[in-house]
Amino acid sequence: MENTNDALQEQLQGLATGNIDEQARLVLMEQAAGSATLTDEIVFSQSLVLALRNPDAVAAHAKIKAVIAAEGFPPPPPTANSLSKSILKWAGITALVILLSVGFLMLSEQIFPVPSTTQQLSRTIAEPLDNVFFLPDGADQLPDLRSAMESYDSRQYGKAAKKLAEYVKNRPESGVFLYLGISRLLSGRGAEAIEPLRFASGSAEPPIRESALWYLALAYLEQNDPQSARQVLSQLAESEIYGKQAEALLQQF
Amino acid sequence: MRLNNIQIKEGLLSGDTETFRQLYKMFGGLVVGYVKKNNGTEEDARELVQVVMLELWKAAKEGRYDEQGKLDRFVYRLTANTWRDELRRRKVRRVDSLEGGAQAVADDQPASLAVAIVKDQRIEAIHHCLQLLESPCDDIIKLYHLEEVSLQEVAQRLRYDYNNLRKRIFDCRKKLKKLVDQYLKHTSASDNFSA
Repeated sequence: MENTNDALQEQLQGLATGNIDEQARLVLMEQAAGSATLTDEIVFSQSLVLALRNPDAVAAHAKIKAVIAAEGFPPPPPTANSLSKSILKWAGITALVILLSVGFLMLSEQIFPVPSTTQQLSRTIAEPLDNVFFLPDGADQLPDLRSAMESYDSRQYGKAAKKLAEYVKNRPESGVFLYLGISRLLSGRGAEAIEPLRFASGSAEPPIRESALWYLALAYLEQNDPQSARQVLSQLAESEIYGKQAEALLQQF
Repeated sequence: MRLNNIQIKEGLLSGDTETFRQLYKMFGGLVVGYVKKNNGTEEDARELVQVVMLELWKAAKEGRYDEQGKLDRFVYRLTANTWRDELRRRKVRRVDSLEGGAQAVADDQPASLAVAIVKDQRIEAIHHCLQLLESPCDDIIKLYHLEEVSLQEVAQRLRYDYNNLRKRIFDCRKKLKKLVDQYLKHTSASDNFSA
């Protein structure tokens, strides 16, 4: 396409960089619908701007492709090392739990209330879930949710729980219920963690559902309800992430 | 030797190939398994492995990956969220074509940068071929398309006649497109040969 049309060049550039008004964009799209050449120019401009603006990302992708080509697809299964490390890790946790149990027994029961075995197990294992991606689209546009997750990130779980509880009154989203339950559990309110985690465990999205089930099991253990914990953990048998942990935890009580 | 999370983060930040290799061995199977269990084909899985690794690289660069967290969970959630977004995008495209919408060019739902780079082979080809462009085309293209300098200012900076520049920028794009087409043809032929 022989084209020295300034206006068109400027529009192609504007479209590729996002600096074009809506009216002009619609006109250009309409023209493109009837012209394969113009469509090709538009697509090329978009690819060109992406390539120019993100050279590091493109270079990283080239390396990733080279690795996949060299190693072959599909990838090899994980090595046995990871399994034996997992076993070692759980053996370590068991030893720690036993040590903690002995330590607690030595203290006066009248001064320090002694947590039960299942409570100790829950408190040893419960860790915060990373604050990544479970939140609804456009979450960073929601100041109240952002504020709640900032408290979560700085481990102020009591504060985070309060703000998240406020948020879900108007927006009952599974991902947010999940973090509400976790915040309550980590701030010592295991009983109040159960309801939001139960809600989140009904999510259609596997990562939310499976994470919720895991923390729900820990909440039940905190509440000295091992039967409910076992029932929940058995639902995680097929989980790629929690399956092995659930199986190992079931051996502990 | 298996890398720990801190080494992985450092490797990602420096774009170390060995780090990518280890990540592929550690998590490639998980990603492939997830896609196949959730209505994906082998080709979908191949793409998603690349997207997830690139997203992980990006998360390290942007400070969103905290090496103290569980890497396997981080990767799992990246996988699940990315695949969910891909399925949503496909659903929207299907609806559009059923309703007889105009051909989706820039109207397509904006994908993440990682998805765009993985799916559009042209981007890598352009990145490669830009280095083959000689002066003044490389300067013209960078000034105009990257630094978003107006045509008039480009002409001033490079001391071109404005009217000549208007034609020159088109010629440079044409040259670059030709190089890109040749590169894509060549890499496609290599892929077929090795397959």
